[in-house]
Amino acid sequence: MILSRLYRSCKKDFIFFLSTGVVAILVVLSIVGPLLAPYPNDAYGEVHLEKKLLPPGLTHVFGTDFLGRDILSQILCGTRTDLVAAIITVGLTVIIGVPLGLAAGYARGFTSETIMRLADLFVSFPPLTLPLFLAALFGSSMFSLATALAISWWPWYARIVRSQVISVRENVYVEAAEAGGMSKIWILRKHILPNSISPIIVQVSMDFGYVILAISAFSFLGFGVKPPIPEWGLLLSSTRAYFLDYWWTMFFPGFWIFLAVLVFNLVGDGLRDLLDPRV
Amino acid sequence: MIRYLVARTLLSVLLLLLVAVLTFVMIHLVPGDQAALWLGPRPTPEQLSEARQKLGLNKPIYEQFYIYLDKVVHGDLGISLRTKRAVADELRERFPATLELVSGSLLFAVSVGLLIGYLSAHKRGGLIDAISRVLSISGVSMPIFWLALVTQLLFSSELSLLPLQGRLGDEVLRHYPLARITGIYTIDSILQWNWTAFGDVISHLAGPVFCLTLSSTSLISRMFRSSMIEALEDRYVTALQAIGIGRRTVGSKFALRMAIIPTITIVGLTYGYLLGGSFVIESIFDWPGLGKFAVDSLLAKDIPSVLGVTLLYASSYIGINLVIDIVYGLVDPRIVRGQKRRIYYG
Repeated sequence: MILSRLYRSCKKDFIFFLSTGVVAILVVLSIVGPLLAPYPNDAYGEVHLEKKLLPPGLTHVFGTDFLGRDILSQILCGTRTDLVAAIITVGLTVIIGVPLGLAAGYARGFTSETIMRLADLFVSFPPLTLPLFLAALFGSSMFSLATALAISWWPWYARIVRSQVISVRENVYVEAAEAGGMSKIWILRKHILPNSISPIIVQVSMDFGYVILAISAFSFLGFGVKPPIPEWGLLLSSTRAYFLDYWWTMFFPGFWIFLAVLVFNLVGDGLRDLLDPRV
Repeated sequence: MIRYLVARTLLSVLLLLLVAVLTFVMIHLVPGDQAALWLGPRPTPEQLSEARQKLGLNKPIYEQFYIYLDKVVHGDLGISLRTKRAVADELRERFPATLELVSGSLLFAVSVGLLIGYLSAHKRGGLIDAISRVLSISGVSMPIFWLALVTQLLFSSELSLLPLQGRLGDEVLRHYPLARITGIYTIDSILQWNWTAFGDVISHLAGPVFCLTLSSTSLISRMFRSSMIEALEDRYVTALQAIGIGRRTVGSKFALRMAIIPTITIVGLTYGYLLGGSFVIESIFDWPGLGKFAVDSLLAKDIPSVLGVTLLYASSYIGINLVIDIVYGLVDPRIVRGQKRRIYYG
């Protein structure tokens, strides 16, 4: 059903169609990127000093960096890192936020209040501040960065799920199931969760681009992904010492991040229009 | 109103307390020895036992928390491992720089955002509306670290219009020295009637402010556009037009006032985003503020300093949201009577 609606809105909305296509290409690239890259070894630390800082041309479409590594290859191979990191982050956020939101919405009184005040606490840090603190404490790796982002992000998901559950639980079929003696877990799983999940899908698709931005920003600053793993923000930060004289080393990686985030945001917007009846 | 004021203030104080609890718990959750963490790499056994004594790690946990809280409340945030100075002094020194950057950005984002939103709501589907639509989706998708590098390349290196980084040029510093009064250079230079320095300060601010605010400006303009459209479609607007008041007057005198109320909420959220963006922007533009300090401290694994910035950012964010709640309550009495609830922190 969703697929046929997706097909119809693709026909109607060219931009949505185009951005969905680009997202699909990015997903494919994250799997086969190293196979398509012209110089895949360059992305994993191979150095060619004789070819350093070549401007964009036929052999190196986006040019080479200060160690003679092909920039296009590094970007292509980095796609996997960024998408996987974003998927882990969003996945963890959902795993933490959705159950807490379900509990806060279905249980009334003390449990609900405790969870929601806890949510208030986590969002009383400005964005990216809590992850920064956590990175300082727990050291930086891709996984701890994803965890840190998820820990500061779950309240948004918990709030959305909670408000959804509160409206769903008033339905007669929930009452009927309760009267029929079904367990709370069963009701949550069979009735409430399936009927509360679509705003979460919308939120995930809307947040995906922002998560990519956060991950590449943290890697750019030096926390998160570490070389020699190819990653977009890291690639950009490695050019900081000399980009003023060799513009292509900085321009293409950043423009690539921009385009990737843009298409994810456009798809998110499209999906919201598709799945959210309120808009 | 008084009850609302008291309740909101108490809630903020409670949040501040919980923030302290959370950071305390986090520090204690860290695997490994606390004392080793505070001392930095490769401490001697004597240093370790001394540090344990000093940090009170041999006391029971609730006592440790009490001591921690007492210190934080009194502004004692420990000694920076990197600079060997009191963290509180480091923060105090850098605070004005970040305050200037963030307030300037907030001012810019709100004024430009409202203007663009107003214009695009007035001529829906027009040229400005189309441009602002494209700009806003690009604005929220823009990696600000890349935008900052492009700005440096284009405006500083190629066109030589703006200084590359810092808060004040060396030339100006040498020939038109600026005494530190508030630490906010724009205000200091006006107070000292030093217009050369003022111009230089503004030109140093321009790049970072532009990069920091692009996404917030587009967010505000979109929000304001939709609330303006909503207000323009309200029935009293039709009624006003029916009695012969022109569209322009209705828009600027009546609808604007209604539309601006929901936008106040966005200001709190924007403030948060600006603080979050300060880490990246201050690092790239070599801005000597809290964001750069936090990043440098983090790279040096200087936990007391990072903790200090975290607490300061969180408490100022809570503070500004309290102020906004109060303003919101004054503007829209329905909030105070509990008939309507502001979306808390966005």
